[in-house]
Amino acid sequence: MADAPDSKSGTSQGVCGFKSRLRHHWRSSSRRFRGRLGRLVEITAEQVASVLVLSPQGRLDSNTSPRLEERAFLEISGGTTRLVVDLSAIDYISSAGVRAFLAVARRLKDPPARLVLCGMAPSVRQIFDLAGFTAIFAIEGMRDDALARAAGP
Amino acid sequence: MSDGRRLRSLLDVSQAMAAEIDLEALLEVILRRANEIMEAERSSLFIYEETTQTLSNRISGALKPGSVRVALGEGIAGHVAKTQAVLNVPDAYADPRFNPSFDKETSFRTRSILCAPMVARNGRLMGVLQALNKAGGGAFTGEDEELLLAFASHAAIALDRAQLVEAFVDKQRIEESLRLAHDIQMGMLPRSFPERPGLRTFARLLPARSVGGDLYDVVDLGDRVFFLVGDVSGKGVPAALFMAVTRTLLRASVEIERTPAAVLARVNRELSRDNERSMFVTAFVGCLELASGELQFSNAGHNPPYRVDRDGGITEVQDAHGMAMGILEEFPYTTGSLKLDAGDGLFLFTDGVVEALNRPGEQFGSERLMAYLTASAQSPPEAVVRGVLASVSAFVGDAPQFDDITVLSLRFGDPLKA
Repeated sequence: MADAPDSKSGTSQGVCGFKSRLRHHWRSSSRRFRGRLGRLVEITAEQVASVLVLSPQGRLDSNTSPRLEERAFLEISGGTTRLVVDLSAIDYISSAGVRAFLAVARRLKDPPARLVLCGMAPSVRQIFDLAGFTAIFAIEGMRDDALARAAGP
Repeated sequence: MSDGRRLRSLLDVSQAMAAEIDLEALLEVILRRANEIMEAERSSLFIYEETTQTLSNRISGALKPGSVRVALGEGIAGHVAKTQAVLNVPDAYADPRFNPSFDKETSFRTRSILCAPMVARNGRLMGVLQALNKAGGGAFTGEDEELLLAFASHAAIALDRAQLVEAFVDKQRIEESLRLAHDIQMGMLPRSFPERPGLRTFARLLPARSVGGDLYDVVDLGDRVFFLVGDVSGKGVPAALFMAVTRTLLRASVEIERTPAAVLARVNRELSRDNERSMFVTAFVGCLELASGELQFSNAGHNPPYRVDRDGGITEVQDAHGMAMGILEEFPYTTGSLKLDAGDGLFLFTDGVVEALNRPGEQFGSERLMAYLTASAQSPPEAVVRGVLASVSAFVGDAPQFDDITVLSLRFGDPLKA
């Protein structure tokens, strides 16, 4: 379960049910090689009232996810308790990337701390689904909903 | 020394430095030859460390290397490092930048100093070279300045190269120890499998270049056989260590627990405790009753295996799909069941199989895998495993393998061959 090299998402298919999501994942066949090393994940940060929004871009794999994890830990050490991670600019996530979110969620597990994820592409979402983690994260489709959920009581 | 001799000497030194790839030996050569060429009483060399932006000393026959550290701009050496220009100080004690504490420590009396930057390719600062006390007592001349500058730039190139070689050797050493770690890891996986009337199994792991975290096991408990395939998040040494712990826990648990769900629950509980890094492992565990062909199974976040019937029909085993292990201490795993008839089998694998990429960037994919499994529905498990790995290898060609590839094949009711 290491990282697959860079990929472009496959043909869009109807996404309904576990099985078809898996098929979609495994049969997308237009993956491309790109430089695996040296491509850094760009992370933009924005404070919206009490909530910090981190928006990583590109790939979250064993090379790049430590950056996101470190950045989130840094913000948490600095006092951030309400965190939204907007994944709409993430085109690939490996199990190492998922692990980074688990580690951040662990740091924000005591109320009122809160981690909300949003903007997952179907190919990203199915990685969480397959590992059975969808249930333990607060996941929203839209960023505004994620902001509201993170800011809530 | 005449100018001609000094120039020839510079050429000799350049050749000597070019031949030296050992970093320590090279520093020795530079310091000794700097003394000779510059006709100085003593020479010192400061190596620039980019990460800390400081210079650390290598002084011939005196202070312990690395015992003196100066920042850019600090003292004579720091000044030269900062300006990257040669500096000629006729009387050290008259220069406010001079720090006399080194003299005190080494019982040396510095009079004149000539200091030049060591600049390598792309203008990268490697360090600073100093000649102390011109022989005969006077100050260093303008010719000395040019000579030391030339010498320092030759030394910089040699130093740069030696550091590259050293970094390369370090890297090789790390790779070698990772390779050994991987061998140890592979040694934890069975290479032979229970030969029982009514059941044949075979499994292989094709390791990626770096250590990873795939695992498999087959445990014969007499009336039933446990089998499993798993995959740890991420890669590298942490994944390998987590895999080793998981494999040990799984092997102990199948002897204690009766059902696959109970096995996963026990291992998950152990892994979830104090899992500070939030690592996780997916696994599919099955348990086959040899007398009946009754198969129980439970899945912790792993990709579903295929049931391969003797007529070549293939179905995904999707039930009893729970969370990957290591995260939620009390996750309620469930046990699914199915019944195998004679000649039916099961094929377990990790995502490294279907996600294997060829040069154009296409995935091996589940369709190719299923087509192969259909075609080999009546082959013995060993042939199935070797065949799948061979067709993945043929597909991938010379593209690099990014992930461990693990496959396990099982067939119920196969008569043992003599």
